[in-house]
Amino acid sequence: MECKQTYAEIDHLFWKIALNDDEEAFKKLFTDFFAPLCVYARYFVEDKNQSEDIVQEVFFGLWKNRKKLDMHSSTRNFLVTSVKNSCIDHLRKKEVEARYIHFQTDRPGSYEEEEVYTASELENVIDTALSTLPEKLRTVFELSRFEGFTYSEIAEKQQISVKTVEAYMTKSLKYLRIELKDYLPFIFLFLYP
Amino acid sequence: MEINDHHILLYLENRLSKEESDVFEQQMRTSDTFRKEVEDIRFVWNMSNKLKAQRQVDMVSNWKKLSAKIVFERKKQVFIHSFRSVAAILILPLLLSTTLLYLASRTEKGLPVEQVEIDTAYGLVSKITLSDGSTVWLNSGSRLSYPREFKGGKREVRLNGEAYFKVSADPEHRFVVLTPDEVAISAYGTEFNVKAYSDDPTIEATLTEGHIEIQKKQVSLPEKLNPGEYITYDKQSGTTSISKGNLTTKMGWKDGKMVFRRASMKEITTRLSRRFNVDIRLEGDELLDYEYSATFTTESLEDILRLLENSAPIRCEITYPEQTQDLSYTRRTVTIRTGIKK
Repeated sequence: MECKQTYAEIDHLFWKIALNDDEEAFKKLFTDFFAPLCVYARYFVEDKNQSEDIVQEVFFGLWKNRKKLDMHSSTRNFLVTSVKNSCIDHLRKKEVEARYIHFQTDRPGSYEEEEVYTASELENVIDTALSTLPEKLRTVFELSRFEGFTYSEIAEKQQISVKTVEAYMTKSLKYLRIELKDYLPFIFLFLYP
Repeated sequence: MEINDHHILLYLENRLSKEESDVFEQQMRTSDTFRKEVEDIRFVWNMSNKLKAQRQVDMVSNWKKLSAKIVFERKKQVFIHSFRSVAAILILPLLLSTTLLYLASRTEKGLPVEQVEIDTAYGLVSKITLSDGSTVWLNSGSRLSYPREFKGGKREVRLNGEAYFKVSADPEHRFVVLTPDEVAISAYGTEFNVKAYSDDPTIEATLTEGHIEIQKKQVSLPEKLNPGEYITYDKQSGTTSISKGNLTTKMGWKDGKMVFRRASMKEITTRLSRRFNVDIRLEGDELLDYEYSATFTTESLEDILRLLENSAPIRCEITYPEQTQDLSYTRRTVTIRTGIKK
């Protein structure tokens, strides 16, 4: 991940919070991480409200214990690990560990801890990549992926056939793959037969 | 069937048919390049999923909720903090007084109980009130030692001489009078007189009311005493005898009286010498057989001796103190002889 700079900046935010009780820094940290951590939490806890409550509790704990927290690794890792542990605790309390396992295996593509970016980071990365796409492809992709329209709705909207919409989607994905090559996970090909 | 790029989209959306899916997965297994491409595209796909989910989180309401929680927690902390300070201020004197009381109680237990010793001078009677409320009259030439305060449930006093005890009732704590000859008189709440001079051949206990127990070397003697009776313990033979006596002769001393009823010359002289602090010498054995009955109250020694001379063929002579070689004075001495008063 190309986040070295951000890691240091985030840690700096935490020190401002811990040493100066800096509420602005706390709000910045919240803005950066609340939403991505909620998305991360939802890979464990299905319910949107519950996952948001869990992340809130993690932020509350960070503020409350800011003076005594022992940050071994980065603040980002601390947040991600805290959310993960809280989710697992939550599942354990609800005695639905079975579901957690079910999530882990069933979800298309697991959510690795390192894949948690700050809100603006993910926003910027995808925006930058999308901006290189031809206008038509980009519109279709955004309508489908972010606005939640079905292919037939988009086809109607854009006065094109569903086949064309699907073709645009495929094309967009292939473009983005190249644009985002720096962020793609490194896969150990030789491990597979 | 040929796998094309379109199939990747269908794969991500779970829209492949059974045969298509089989062929697709076969392709993934055989071609590393194809697999890499699928994994990459799936990653991009997931990234866009995350971005969408992230955009759906309501930041404003969540921030409001969190800040409200923090404000509440801060108020709680302020309250707890001030409560703690108040508690700390209050606990200090409490702790201090507890410690002092504890130390005080400890030293009280550790130190021996202060003993008080009272000697009554010749011719006087002392009245003592003990810590349990009991009253003791101490006759002339007697010594009583007792603790300033009775501790550990024991009520024990030592007597050398004669004393009259009026023991306050306490059925849980026995009141014990120890005499010099290992004879102890005990009671729970009664009135009795004990005569235990170390130079007397006997010890006498007279019961006025209630019940007393006599012990010799920790062993209870079987004799039972009724009010108005007195028990005499002979030190030499170790025997006891019970007689009925006249209470006024036994206890008159308490009110400043000397009461004799058919008393021998020996008894009279002993009591006179204790009361007036004189040595009395008897010359002539026949003197011992005389018996007198009399009651003296405020009479002086000289008056009493004159009365004795008038009622029997004896002569009394007082030798007044003289300075000896070591500059001290001798005691007054009375010599009683047979003979007719001139």
